[in-house]
Amino acid sequence: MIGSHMLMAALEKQMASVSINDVQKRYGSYHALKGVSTQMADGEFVVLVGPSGCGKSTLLRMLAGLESISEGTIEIGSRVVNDLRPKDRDVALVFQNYALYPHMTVEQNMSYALKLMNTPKSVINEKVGNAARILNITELLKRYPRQLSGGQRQRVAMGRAIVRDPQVFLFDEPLSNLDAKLRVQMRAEIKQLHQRLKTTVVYVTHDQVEAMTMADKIVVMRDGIIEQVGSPIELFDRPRNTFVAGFIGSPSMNFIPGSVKDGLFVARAGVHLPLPDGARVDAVTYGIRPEHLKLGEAGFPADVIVIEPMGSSTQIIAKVAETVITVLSTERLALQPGSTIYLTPHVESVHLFDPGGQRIES
Amino acid sequence: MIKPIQANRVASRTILYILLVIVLLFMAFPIYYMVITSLKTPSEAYRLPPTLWPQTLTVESYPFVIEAWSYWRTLANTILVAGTAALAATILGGISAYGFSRMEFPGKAILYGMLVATIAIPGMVTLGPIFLAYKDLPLLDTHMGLILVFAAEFIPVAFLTMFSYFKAIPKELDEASAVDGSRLIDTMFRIIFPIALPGFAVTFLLLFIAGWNDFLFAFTLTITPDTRLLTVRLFEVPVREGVNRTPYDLIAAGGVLILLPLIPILLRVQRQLVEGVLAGAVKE
Repeated sequence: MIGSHMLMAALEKQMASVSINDVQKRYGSYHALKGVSTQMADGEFVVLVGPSGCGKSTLLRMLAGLESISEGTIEIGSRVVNDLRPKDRDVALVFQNYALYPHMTVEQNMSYALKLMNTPKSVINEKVGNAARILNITELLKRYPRQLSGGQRQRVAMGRAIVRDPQVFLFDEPLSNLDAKLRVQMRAEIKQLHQRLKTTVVYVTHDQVEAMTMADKIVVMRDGIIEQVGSPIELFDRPRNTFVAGFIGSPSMNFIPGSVKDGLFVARAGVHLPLPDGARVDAVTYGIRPEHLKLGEAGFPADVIVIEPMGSSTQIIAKVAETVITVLSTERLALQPGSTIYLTPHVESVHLFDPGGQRIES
Repeated sequence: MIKPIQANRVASRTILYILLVIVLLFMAFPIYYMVITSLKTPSEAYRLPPTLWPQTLTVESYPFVIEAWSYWRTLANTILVAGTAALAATILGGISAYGFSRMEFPGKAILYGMLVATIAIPGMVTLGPIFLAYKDLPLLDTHMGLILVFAAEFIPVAFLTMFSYFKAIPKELDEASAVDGSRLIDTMFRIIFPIALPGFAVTFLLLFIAGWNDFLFAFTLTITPDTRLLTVRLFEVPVREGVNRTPYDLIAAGGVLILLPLIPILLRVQRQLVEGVLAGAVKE
C-alpha cells in the first residue's frame, strides 16, 4: 500500500511541467505580453531574464494566478490553470520584498498555508521543522520578521514556500534586496535547494549573472516577447540576435559596425578585422566578446581610454574605429590611458549579425 | 567662550521653548480653571475678580452634580452610544476601505468622491429631516436612533483613516496570502486586519471621543432623562434650591466629570494616537 502511494506521489510530481501557449497580456491599450510560448520540463530550473518592463514579472504573476490571462493558456502539470485561483494552482511564490506576515512568528509564517488546508498539527510541526532544518533557521522559529536580517527573511520566505511542497516554485527577483556578498551566497543556496528538492522552478531576474549561474534553461525576454530560449551555454555561444548577445555575458559583447569586403570585415576608419571562413557578405555587425580579444604586437589598433584592474583580470575600455569596446585580459598589464594596443580576435568566437540584428550562422 | 553657531542654537531653542510654553498655557489654562472652580465653594466660584487657587478647598459640588444628573446612568448611556457607534463605524468603514484600497471596480472614483463629500455636509442640515423621520419611525428618544446617526456620521471618517492605513500595507502581503491558499475572507481577517489593528484602535478611539463630545444630535434626538448623554446634561445646568445665580462650581464639576473618564483612555493611547494620525506606515 505504502509502495503504491509513493508511486502515485512520484507520478504526480512528474506531472509538474509548465506549458505556456501563446500567452498575451493587455492592460487597456498597453500590450505587455505579445504572445509568449515556452515549455518547462518537470524539475527544470527556468530563469526568465530581461530588462525591466520586458514582461517577465507579469508572466510569473500570471503563472501564480495574480494576473489574469488575456489570451492563450497556461498549463501546470496537465491542468489548464487560466481560470484557477492562486490557492488552487499548487504553486508557491517567493517575493522580492519577502512579503512575510509581520504579525506572525517565523513558525506561524511557515505554517499558515498548511493551517488553511486543515493539516493536522503534528504534520505541520514536522514539515516546518524539516524546512527549517534544510534552511538552517531552526533557532529563528519563534522570532518575528522584524527581528531578522535580510538574508534570514529571505530564508524564511523560502521556508514558507518549501513547507507547501508545491508543484512549482516561483521566484520574483528574490535576491534584489540583498547586498552583493549575500546575493552570491543565497544564489548558491537556492541552486543547492533545487538540486535537493528537484521541483520545477521558475525564477525571474534582471541580472544575467544570476540567470547564467542558476538556470538549466534561460528564457530571454524583451518588450513582451521571447527573444531566445536555451541553456546558459547555448545562449552564450550562439545568441540568436544582437539583443541576446549583448544581454548575456559580462562584460557585454562588443559590437563593431562595418561591412564584409574580400573576406575581411571592414569597420569605419579603414580598420580590417579577420572573419571566419565562408562568412556571408551581408553581415553588418561584428560581435566579439571582451575575453576573445587577445593583446599582442600584431592585430588591429585601439586607443586605451580607461583601465579597470579587477585583480584576477583587467578590463580595458578602448576605442576602435569610433566604437568603444571592452577587452578582458588576465595578464598583468602596464598600460596608460591614451596608449595604443593591438588586438587579435579569436576568429572561431566571432559572431556576425545581419542588418536586422539577426545572427548569421557560418 | 561660546561659539556663535552654538549661541545661535541655544537662542533658537530658547525661543522655541518659550513659544511652546505659551501655547501649552493657552490650551491648559481652561482645564486648570475648570478644575479649580469645581473645587471652590459656591460663593467663591462667583467672586470677582476670580481666585486662581481655591481659598477653601471643597468637593461639595461633585456629589450634588452626580445626584442631579443621575451621573452613572448618563455615563453608561454615553459609553453605550459612543462605543457602539464608533465600533460599528470602524468595522464597516474598515471593511469598505479595504475593498477600496485593493480592488478596482466600475464607479469606484464616484463612490469614493461621494463618501468623502458626506464629511463636508454640516450636521445642522441633516438634523431637521432626521428629527422628523425619527418621530415617525419611531427612533426618537432611543439609543438605537442615536447610534445610527453617529455611526452614519463616523463611517466616512473611519473609511478615510483606514483607507490610508491599508494603502500603506504592501499589496504583496495580500498576494502572498492568496498564493498560500487564502480566500479573500482569510486574507482580510487573518492577515491584513491583524496588521492594521493599531489603525483600527486609533480610529475607534478617535470616533469614540467624537461621539462622547457630540452635543447637537444628542440634544435634539433625546428627550427623556433616561436617554440623555453627558454633554446634554451639562447644558441642563443643575441648580441648588433657593439659589438664583449661575452655579459656576457645579458647571465646572460637570465638565470635570465629563472629561475624567476620557483621561485614562487618552493617556493609554496618546503615543499611538500621534503615530496613527501622522502615518499609517507599516514596518516591512
